[in-house]
Amino acid sequence: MELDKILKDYIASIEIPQKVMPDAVKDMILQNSEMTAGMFLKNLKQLKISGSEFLELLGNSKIGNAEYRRIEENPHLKYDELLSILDNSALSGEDYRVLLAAAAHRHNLMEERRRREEEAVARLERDRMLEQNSSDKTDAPAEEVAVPVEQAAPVAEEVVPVEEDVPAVEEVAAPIEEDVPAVEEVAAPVEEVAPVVEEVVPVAEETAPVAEETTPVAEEVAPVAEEVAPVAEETAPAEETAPVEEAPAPEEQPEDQNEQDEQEYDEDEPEYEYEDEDDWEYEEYDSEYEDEYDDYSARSVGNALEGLVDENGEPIPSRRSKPALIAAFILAVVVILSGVAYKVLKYYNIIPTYTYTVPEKFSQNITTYTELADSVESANKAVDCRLPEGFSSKEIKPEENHTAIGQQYVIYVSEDENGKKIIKGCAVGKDGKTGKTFTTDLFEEEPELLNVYAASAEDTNCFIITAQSKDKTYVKIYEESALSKLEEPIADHAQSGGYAGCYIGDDAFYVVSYVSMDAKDSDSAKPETFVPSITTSDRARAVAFNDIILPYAAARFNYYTVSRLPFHDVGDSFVKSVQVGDSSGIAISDGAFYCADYIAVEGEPHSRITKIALDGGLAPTFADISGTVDPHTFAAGTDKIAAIGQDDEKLPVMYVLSADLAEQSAMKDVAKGKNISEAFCTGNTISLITDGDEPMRYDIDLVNMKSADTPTQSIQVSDNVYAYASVEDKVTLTLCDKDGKQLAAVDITADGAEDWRSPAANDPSLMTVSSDGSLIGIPVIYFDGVTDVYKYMLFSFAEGKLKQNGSIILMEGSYSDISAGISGKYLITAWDGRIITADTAKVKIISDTKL
Amino acid sequence: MDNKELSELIRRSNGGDSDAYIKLYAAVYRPLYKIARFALKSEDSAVTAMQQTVKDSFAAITGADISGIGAFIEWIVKILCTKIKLQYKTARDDDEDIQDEQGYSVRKGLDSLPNIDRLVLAVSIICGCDAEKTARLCGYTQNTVEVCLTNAEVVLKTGLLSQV
Repeated sequence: MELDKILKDYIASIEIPQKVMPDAVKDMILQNSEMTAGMFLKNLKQLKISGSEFLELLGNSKIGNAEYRRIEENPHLKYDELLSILDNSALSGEDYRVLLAAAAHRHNLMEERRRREEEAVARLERDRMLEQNSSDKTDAPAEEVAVPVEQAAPVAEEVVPVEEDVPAVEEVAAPIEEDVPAVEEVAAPVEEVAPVVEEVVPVAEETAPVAEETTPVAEEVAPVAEEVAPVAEETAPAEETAPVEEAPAPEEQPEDQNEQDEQEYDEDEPEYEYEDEDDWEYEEYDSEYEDEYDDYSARSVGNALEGLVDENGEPIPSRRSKPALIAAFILAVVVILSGVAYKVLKYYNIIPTYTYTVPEKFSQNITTYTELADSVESANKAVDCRLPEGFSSKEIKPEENHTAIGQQYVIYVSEDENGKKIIKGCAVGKDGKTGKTFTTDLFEEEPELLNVYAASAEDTNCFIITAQSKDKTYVKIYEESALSKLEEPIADHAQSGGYAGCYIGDDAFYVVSYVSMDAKDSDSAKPETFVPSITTSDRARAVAFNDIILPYAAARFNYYTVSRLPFHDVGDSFVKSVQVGDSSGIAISDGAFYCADYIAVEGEPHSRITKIALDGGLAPTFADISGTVDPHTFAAGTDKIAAIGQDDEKLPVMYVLSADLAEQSAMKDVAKGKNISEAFCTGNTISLITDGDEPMRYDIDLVNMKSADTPTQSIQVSDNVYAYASVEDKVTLTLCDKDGKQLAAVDITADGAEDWRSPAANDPSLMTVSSDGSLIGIPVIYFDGVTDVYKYMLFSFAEGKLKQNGSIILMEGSYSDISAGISGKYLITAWDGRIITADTAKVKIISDTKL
Repeated sequence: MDNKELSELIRRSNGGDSDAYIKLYAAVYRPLYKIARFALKSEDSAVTAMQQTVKDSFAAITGADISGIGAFIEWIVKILCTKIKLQYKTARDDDEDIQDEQGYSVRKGLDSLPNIDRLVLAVSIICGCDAEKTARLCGYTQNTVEVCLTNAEVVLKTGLLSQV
């Protein structure tokens, strides 16, 4: 049966539940209960808020930076795209309600302000009309100039109330604004915001009568004006016409100018013609008034304001009528009383003052041990340390090393009769012969892990022993000869946590351990309960606070601790601890320790790469990545480090950073989007191994960000000579320069032998090189038709040619741990604790000892 | 219901007519639910995704620029995909105990796929569209869709066909 048919059968068998049937859905959309992103957008649309207001609202919400940027940078998003962004953000239905309440609040304020402005303008027009009517009644037909005076005068007079009313409206509005929190502050629970919106309306309505009262007041004034008019008529005409004639009509009002020109022309007209014109002029004024009234706007108010000044910019002396002055006075009294009443009501808390608590963004400020302990406890809920679904959860174990070949001694990790890990060793004499074997049991507790390393610094040859026991990592550094005699070590060090890795520097050994401490056991007064401890020369102490590198958000007591243990002077030890969450990983390259840590703070992913330079000062640096980095696929190359992750859009990417973490970039469509279970670097090439039953390998050049050939893993022979082994149907040892140019090569094969392979092809450190670069040893394995044969071959490199000196051949047995070293004229090989020495000239076996 | 009637329903829905919208929904809810159920592990999550799709599409259809029934289906499937992704993020989507043997094996096979693969496969099969259009509907790149479809095919063939 085809897969397609199986799936279609399954699709056909899906039953539709009642809840999604049209009838049920109809009830649901009418109930309109749950707030979704779509409903939020719809409601916002109804509020007619602008794009900038929308962004401002979102900017003060819990929406993530990435989502905000996407909306901000794409003003023409389609509906489903906007919906997708909002759905993928951290905003919940409750957040949408709060945002809507804030938007509604702002909308109401704007409406209220607009209404007040309209009322103010309308009031001005009414006053002007009232003034006009009263003035008309005082005009005598003979006073030809009076007509233009009255037409010019309202320009000044109508502004009179503006001077007083506009500030008054602002004064009334001001308390409202004081009472209304900024939009940023309105991100409060809807229960708190809702009453505010309602509260503003009555407060605003208290001001409304101020404007509305002007109408009756003005109407009351009208008869007064009529009464006053005759008085004005008696006294005003001569005085009023004079200044108006002197004051030119505003240039900005050409219509007035035309009218004035026309009227000047009319001065010469016969009187009877003027009387006819008088009626016509009046009607025209009415229609002009209607137009102005219909088209009131801020601009018309602005134009009116321009009439306040003369050509010199000086205010034109207003000639207020008594009714207008009375109306203005009453209005001013009402406004002042309203303000006083508002203050009194607020003082006695009759008008409550609401204080809104803005939900704070997660932040920490840790400067002491105590703050660290408290912060971690409080951050537990806000920080999620689990990697999103689909990421690798493969546990990465540190590499182990069970054989160390020094200049005069060889040591090997073995087990005693009880199965306890111990160290066995033997000396290699100046004649190449192995001496008496010795056994050391350095640790009282049974070590779970035990590794040995050899190192040389200046004229000191050392053995380094690392052990892990009971969540502690121990390091002991001995001079080679001191180990067999159990003399005092150069360094005796212990630190919290299990062994995680190490690095052998020129003059020091660097050890890394990982510890996860239980928050329940933490006591802020006792740093050792929540901070790693180190013990050097029997002196125990918690890592100093200043030596703890905190993550983006401290939420767990998990630490990687890096210690520097010099080969010569114990006093120069340095320690740094990197605190991490629950999803972290490390990579150690030549001279640097890197730690990748992933956490999600309030649903927003934060990844941090921390680097500690493995040198004298253990200087730390870090880089934040605004996406998800899988610490399990984290690898460090020569100049680059990289990790698989997800970008802001949850799409798979590979993050690539420069070794100093200063530059970062992301590469998409890596490994065809498949899940990656393992990653490692060779030079600047990262190799990604896909998850699943049929894993695939993808090699990518991190410098050029493109696919690369399978990299060769080489060791340095001399200044510009490198050696690597490759395997096809035979093993090939190749020497090349640093650019990859082949210098010499030799095929290792033999008739009758098959299945040639070399462990050095994958781990070039299994090859050995003499200090002058003239000798190169390589282990090879082949099948001779009966059994596997193990062979260690020694080549000399001179004059551009590789020449075989000889080989050690083990026809029996199987060996998993093969090591070798060249000490003077002797080749020392170790085969699972079997030490075989030979001379380097012809590889003639000198001794064969089983430790 | 012919295209003319559907177009008329879209026009009325655009004007905020809830009855028209429900009739429109009635024409498309079956395949929509099947996409949701196919892509999500539990029936509850599928129902929630559908309900959210209905709410948001009804909220947005007023004034939406939808020219015909094809555009409407594409528009509402995009919204559904958004809601399915939201369910992936928020819902506790446990596997359900399915009794039917054939359904059990298919469902188990689907549930073993990554979420993204299941969504892409659902849209691709039920809508019957190619990778380019599936990518547009789901909001992924075409490359991603192709990788998901290949991966899903391999996993399901391995898991399902071995049991048949």
